[in-house]
Amino acid sequence: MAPNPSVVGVRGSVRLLTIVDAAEQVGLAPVTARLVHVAAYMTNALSPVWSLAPYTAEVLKLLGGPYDPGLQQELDRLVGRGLLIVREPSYEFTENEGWRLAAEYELHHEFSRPVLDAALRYPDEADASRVVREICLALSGVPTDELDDLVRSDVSYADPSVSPNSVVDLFGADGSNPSSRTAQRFGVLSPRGTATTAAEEAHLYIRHMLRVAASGTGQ
Amino acid sequence: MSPGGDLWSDSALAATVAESLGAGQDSELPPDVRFLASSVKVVGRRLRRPESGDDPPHFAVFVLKPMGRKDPAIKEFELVWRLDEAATALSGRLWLTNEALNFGHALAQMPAESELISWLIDDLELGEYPTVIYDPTVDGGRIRFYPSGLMDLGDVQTYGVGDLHAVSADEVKGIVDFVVSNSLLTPQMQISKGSTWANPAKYWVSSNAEALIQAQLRVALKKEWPVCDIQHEIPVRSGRFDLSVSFFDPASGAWTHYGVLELKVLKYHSATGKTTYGLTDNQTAVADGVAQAASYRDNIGASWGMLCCFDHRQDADSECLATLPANDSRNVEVHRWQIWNSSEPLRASGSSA
Repeated sequence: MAPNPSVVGVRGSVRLLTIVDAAEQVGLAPVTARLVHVAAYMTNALSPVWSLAPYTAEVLKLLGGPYDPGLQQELDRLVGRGLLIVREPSYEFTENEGWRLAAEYELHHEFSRPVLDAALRYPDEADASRVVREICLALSGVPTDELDDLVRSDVSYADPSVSPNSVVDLFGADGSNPSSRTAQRFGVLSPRGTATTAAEEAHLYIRHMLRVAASGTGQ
Repeated sequence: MSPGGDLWSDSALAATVAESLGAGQDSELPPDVRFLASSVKVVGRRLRRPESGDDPPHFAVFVLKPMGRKDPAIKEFELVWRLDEAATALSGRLWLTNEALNFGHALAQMPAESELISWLIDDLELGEYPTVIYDPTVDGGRIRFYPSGLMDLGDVQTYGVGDLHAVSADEVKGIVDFVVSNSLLTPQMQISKGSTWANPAKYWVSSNAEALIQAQLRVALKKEWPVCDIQHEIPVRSGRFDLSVSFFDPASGAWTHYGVLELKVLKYHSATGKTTYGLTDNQTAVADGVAQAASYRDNIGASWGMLCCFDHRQDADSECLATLPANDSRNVEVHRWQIWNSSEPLRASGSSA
């Protein structure tokens, strides 16, 4: 049975609010649209490490890094509904799409908090929210201006067999993807062995991406 | 094929593990306890670096108050990435950071130690945030943790840096005593959203009571021994243990396992009241628990094994332990804590814990 569109919409809104909330809490403010797109992408790519399916399984590969127009529309909608506050609106030029809107987002706590609190009563949303927080924590170690380079070095995104303007599949037949499988290698390689948690694997993966990006060889 | 060739080889990944080991640890703990553990780890990591001998002999102050990148309040601060890797001197600086210490805003101009507390509380308004102060000048280094912030100077826990000793079963029992008497003893003491009782008046016990107790013990044990790993639900040869107290030495890559805890919730009724358990069921649970604690302890080479029974039964008594053999060669410590269904029978019993 196809998922109920209104439920999908609500879950999408909650996921975005969760990202902005977590980013603010771990010190990633101001939360730029770029950061939201990167955090959403990394959460999708690494969700299988926690045995969770990615919220968005297919992402369009763009030269400038992941940008999901649907997610951006939802962000704008949340501003319209008063759940997010938008600051510093501007335009940025991208090779692929020309000019697009850029802005910083802030949670409107009075209106958003009840929504988040209600969502967290559902175990699936609570689990997803923990993953989002870990990804934001891991991203908090990345200089803001290196976020795009970082994602372009992601194993799934940089896969040379996926050309720009093609779809990056983050949910393979076994529920994993190249990024999540690589992250799980850290569990094998860590001297901590079976004590290595999904969060450690994700943090180590993002640290490694940073080193790859710094070497200038990420695609 | 992986992009970037050798950059994604196992040896390249292993280099990242060596440099960033510890990143992402303790993710299941509350932020303040994770912040404590991260702070203790970063101090230890810094001290293991040869260049740390040149670090200034002054306090390092860590405050769990991550600041946004453009916040005007941190104009004078220096932004340090991946603070947890301890590549920079920690002491003589105030650090505003998050629970993973993935980055820190550092301020080097701290006042004299006599004015430090009032400066942090009054001038910087940081008195209400969890704070760790590392003092490198005494006893080889001391760490003080203020979970409620510096506004409550009485709520402090102190740790010696490098003050590692074998954690004994007695010490762990003391922590379980503390958790029971402060957080579990009666339904009123328990967190309403996470009670071990489904219906205390009827002695119905929550289906996740053991998980709730385990979560509380993990936090309490970590707060007591922040350098230790409090592992839980780790699969071993003969099953999956509930909790262990262990130490991982990042320098040698070796584990020392101090002990294993097996938890059992003794009860007469399930969460819905539809299933009832008799004395024999509870005796079986205890006997199984002893066997599990002994076997998990031996599986990981720990020094001790402990069975912790949280007794939710009406008219609970130690009869459920009666079938255990005397002088059991498996040498597992068995302890029972009564969890009361209300304050009245507790008062009537004259017991304080």
